[in-house]
Amino acid sequence: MIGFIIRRLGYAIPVLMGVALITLLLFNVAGGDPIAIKLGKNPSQAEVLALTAELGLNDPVWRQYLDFLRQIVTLDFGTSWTDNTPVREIFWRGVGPTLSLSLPAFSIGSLIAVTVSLLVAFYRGSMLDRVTTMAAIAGISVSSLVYILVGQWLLADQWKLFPVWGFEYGIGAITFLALPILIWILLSVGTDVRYYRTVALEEIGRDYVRTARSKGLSEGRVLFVHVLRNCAVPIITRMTIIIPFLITGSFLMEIFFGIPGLGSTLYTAITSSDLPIVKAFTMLGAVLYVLFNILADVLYAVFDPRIRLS
Amino acid sequence: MFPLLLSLLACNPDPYPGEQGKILHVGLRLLPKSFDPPQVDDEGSGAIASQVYEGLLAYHPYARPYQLIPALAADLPEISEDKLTYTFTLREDITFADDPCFPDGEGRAVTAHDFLYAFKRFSHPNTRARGWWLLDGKLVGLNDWRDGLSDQMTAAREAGEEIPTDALWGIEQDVAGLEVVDDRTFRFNLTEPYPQFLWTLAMSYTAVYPHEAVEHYGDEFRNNPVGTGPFKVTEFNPVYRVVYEKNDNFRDVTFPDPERNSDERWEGWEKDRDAGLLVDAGQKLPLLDGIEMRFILEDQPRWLYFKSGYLDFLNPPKDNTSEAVPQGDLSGDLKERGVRLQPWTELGTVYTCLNTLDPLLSNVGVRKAIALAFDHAWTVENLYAGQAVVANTLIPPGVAGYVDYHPFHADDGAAQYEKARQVLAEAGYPDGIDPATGKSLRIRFESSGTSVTARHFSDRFTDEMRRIGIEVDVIVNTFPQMTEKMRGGNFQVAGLAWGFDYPDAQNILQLLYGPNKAPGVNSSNFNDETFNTLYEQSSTMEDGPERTALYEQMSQIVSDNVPWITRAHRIRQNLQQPWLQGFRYTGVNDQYWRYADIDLEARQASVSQWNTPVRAPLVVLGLLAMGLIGLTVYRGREL
Repeated sequence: MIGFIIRRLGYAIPVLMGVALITLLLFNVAGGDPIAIKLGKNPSQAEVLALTAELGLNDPVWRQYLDFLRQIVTLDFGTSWTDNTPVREIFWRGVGPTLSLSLPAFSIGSLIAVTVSLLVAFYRGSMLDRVTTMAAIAGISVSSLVYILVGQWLLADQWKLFPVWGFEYGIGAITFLALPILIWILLSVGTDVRYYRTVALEEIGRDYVRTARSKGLSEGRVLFVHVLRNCAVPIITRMTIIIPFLITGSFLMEIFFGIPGLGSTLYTAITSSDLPIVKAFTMLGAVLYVLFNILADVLYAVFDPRIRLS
Repeated sequence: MFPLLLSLLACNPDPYPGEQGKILHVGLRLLPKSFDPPQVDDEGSGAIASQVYEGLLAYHPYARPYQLIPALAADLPEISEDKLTYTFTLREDITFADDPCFPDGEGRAVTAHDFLYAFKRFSHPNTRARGWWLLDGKLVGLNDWRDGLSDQMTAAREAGEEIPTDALWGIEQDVAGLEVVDDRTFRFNLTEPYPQFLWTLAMSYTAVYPHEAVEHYGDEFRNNPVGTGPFKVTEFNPVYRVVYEKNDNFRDVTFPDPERNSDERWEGWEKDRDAGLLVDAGQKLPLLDGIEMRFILEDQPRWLYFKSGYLDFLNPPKDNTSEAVPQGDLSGDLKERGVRLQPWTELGTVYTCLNTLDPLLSNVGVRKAIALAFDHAWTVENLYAGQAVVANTLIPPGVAGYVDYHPFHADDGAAQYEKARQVLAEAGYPDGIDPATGKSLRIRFESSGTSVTARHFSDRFTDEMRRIGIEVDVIVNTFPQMTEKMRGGNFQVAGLAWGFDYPDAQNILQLLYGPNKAPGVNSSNFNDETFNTLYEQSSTMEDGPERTALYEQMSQIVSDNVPWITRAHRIRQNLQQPWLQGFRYTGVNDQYWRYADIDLEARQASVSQWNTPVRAPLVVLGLLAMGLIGLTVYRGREL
């Protein structure tokens, strides 16, 4: 297995170098002007020249690429063009609020999705199954922006059950995070239930389930011990692949609910062409995605002895 | 599902739980960039820095037209006859706010040396002050000093030396234009008369701060302000909020009391008194215990927060303006709640910039045709939902130099397109066809941002141009991309706006002065000899009828030559809750919160009345879900 991990990590290097090259080229073409961002609306020519030289904007692309690779390796992406804050500091400032939203939403959402999936699979064809399936399809069909706007308007503004917007550090965050977490769960649970239900249905029809029942095991034990264990591989794989997105945060949720996390930071950086932040976060996303894909493969083998990594 | 729903019922909609005292709640629509005065050139930074920092002068909180009053200066300056020397005497009672940057944590007295330091730091090349252009070439010896340091830094960089961003080489060197006469007297020596100079001394760029803070915090000075203003910062998260508390060291200043003190009167003060703005007359400032500003970038939460009473003041988002202020007056619902309106016509102009160096647009006839096809009335009614006034010229009404002269604004329905087509034909392009290619003319329109307003405008412009035979390619840019194109002169037509830095038409006229062409601020690259001469002539003239006449002439030249199509002057329909009183929105800076007061009891009563939770629907939903699950389990798989 160690050989497999090393080999996969080795394959990841050219992938990440490619991502870095595309990121650099894309932002060099479509990005904004750091001079305007850093010097304001009326800089003198001398200031423009000095800053251009300092930022290496006239350097050939290959040199800029090498510099970008150095930044990736040293994890030093410089400072924000907008306010000169070190990108590293911006990351650490945002990661806490992002995780305080995404982790509970993901954990509770996954728990609900798995439980509901097993239940509806078990009661296949029942009213509960039909209502849940219909609700899941309906839920998937609606844009996430609608959930956010309607949730904010109905639950926070009309019914006054949550703050409309905001964040607090520490325990006070719960009040502000309750609504975005609820909406996140509603957003994700439909897709998850559809997927996990299919997985569970496949398992419930297998011989070992019939055997377990004929041995007199309770339905709960059959469902939550035997079936669940055998559903673990696809469930864990799916969850592992989602984890990088939990870290990089959600643009919409963070912006609309005022959560000062990585998603809202990236959104602001994109709209203000703050390329050091955009480049750093793009690479972070790519690295996490590659690493967690490798992890998913490894876990696949750990949970299913029939699978051998080679 | 049921426990989850139940846990949700316990939530509290109040975003300020446990808050004590008179704390003002404000929602900013933009993120601030910095507290550091030389970097404060955007709306967000201006709003947060103005509560902490002050300069020698300030805007009168109520008088209109705008009027300067002493802030940290004891009085208005003594100005020499040749208008080259401005001498300020400082107040005796100014002290910086307490801060760990001082040896014992206690703020010290402000002296003229602090102003010297702040002006030198502002002008230092390593500070990269965004407002340097205001002093560029204006003070004796300042440019030489700056250029010398700039050369030193370039040489050091070329030698491979890394220069820290907070390094201030040569800050101790003398500059003839900045003179400390004694601890309380500071003098500016100008290179030539500069009539706008006093306005610059009321801007955030020229605020005073202690060198100890810059040295103590280094780069982090941008997040740790230390000033003389009425508030000091207790918490700052640049992407979320800033919280202020009252600065105990704030000098003894009282709310203007024109009724008792005749020397505190201004034109129209009786009207302000009758409008209830002066109920706190004579009281010590500030009246609030603190301010909490949250950076709410999205429109919906900002609007919903205001409606719930959790924001005390709001410039309603465009999409909600027609709900809040239909037909320019408050809606019945808001009136019933006692909400008040503080409309303010922005000191600025939204315009379409035409690049006069572009081969096609260098033809003044083409520019005139484009302008004639532009429908101003439609723009105001539809694009700004009536919350704007038509910009007849580049200078807004109320600013000296405004003249109602607009030969190429037609706004007369179908006839304007006919007229535009005629002018276009006279310019050599009948029916919009280029005789050289036999094809329709095609222009690129650069739009900034993806807002509904921007998209709506692009569509309308495309439609207007098509009516006169010109095809339009719309290019959407981020703001930095846009500025890059403007600076490089790499565009044909662009949608832009200018907000005045100070209420003097020179501030916008400079955008059309030939020598300021790209990469300078003259993005249209307009270069008219008469205009340039008049601009140069007016630039050293004091405010008065003669200078106003020159401004009017320049404005007319612009209207005749159409380097810009002036579109609108936007109106901000500021809403304030009934419990907020006593201040007037200034617009050009944000120092007005020190005059604001809150009736705390009224706020608490209204907010709790407006925010009673409605739990029944969730309980019903939870019970239904539980019922469905229970029924399914009970009936088993036969169901």
